[in-house]
Amino acid sequence: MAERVLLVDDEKDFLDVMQERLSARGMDVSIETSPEKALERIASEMFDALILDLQMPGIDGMAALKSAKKMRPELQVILLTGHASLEKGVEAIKLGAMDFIEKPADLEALSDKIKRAKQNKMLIVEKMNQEKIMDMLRRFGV
Amino acid sequence: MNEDITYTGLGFFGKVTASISHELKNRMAVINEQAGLLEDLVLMAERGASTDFERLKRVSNAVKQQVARGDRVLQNMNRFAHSVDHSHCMVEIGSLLDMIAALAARQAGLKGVPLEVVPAAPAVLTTAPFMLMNLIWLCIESFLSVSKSGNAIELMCAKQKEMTTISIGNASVDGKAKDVDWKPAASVLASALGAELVWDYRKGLMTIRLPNTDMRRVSGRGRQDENCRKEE
Repeated sequence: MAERVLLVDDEKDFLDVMQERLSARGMDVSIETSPEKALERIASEMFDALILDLQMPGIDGMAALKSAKKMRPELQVILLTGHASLEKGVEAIKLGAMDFIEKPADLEALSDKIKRAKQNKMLIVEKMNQEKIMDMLRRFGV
Repeated sequence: MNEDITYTGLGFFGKVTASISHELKNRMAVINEQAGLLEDLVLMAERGASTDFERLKRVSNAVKQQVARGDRVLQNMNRFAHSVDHSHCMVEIGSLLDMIAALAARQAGLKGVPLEVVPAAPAVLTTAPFMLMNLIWLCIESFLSVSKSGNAIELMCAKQKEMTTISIGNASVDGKAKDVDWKPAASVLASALGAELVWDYRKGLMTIRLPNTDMRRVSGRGRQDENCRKEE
């Protein structure tokens, strides 16, 4: 099954070409130029990975990361930025980002990270399901 | 030079340079992906897929557009870098406003606030261009802290008999206008320029009143560099 990716960046030209290239690699890629709209989609659709620009008009990348993880703790978030600083990288990882990469990104490396993101998400969902089952069993005294 | 002005100037230079490098990184990122797309298309053609010439043209146009955008950024960067070549020189205030609006566009864009330069008759005067740009930048920053997204900050200039005025306004600041956080360095810069800052909070309008007379000539200091506009 194809990896479902949501790409968010205020640069439409960047989004269009990334969508074309990642789709050619068999991924199901959606794009949004506004973080607010991206969060609306995250609330109503399921994605394996969210690729997020750090600096955008409106909500900035860190705030969008926080909101996305609050809504979907299992969602894997990769932050993409023009200038990666160590402090921002540490902050992003603390907030639950899977990775933090600098533009221009190597697409093959990004594709690998997206595939890994899907595996991570599946493991988390599986663990969450197991915990739910264990909780049910405990509640029914089995 | 006053230490406050030096550090404010360095901070201004740093912010502009960081913003420009970010903008150029974005242009490079798109060009990088277009080059990658060409590689993908070549690979597909090598595997027997037919060559889509329209698609190739689109890639070529996209690269040209990015190069043109990057070139505009670099032209402004070059002019900005040369603004410190001479402490004082003759400047056309309208084109200086165009440049500062272009340099601050990214920072304003992150707040969703457009910057608009209102066309006006040419206004030429001898002043310190870097300090004046720094002062306008500080005013824009102060406006950005209270402006509502989607409401433009307007920059205007007008030459009058005794003075040249630069007005920076945003109609959306309304009730918050009294609380605008004007940077203390703005007053120091205005004083160094021999300018007066007039804040009309009801209109949300900051006016910089610059003397048409070169202040160094009045005080008998310095040599006048007649024209500092330079691109290399």
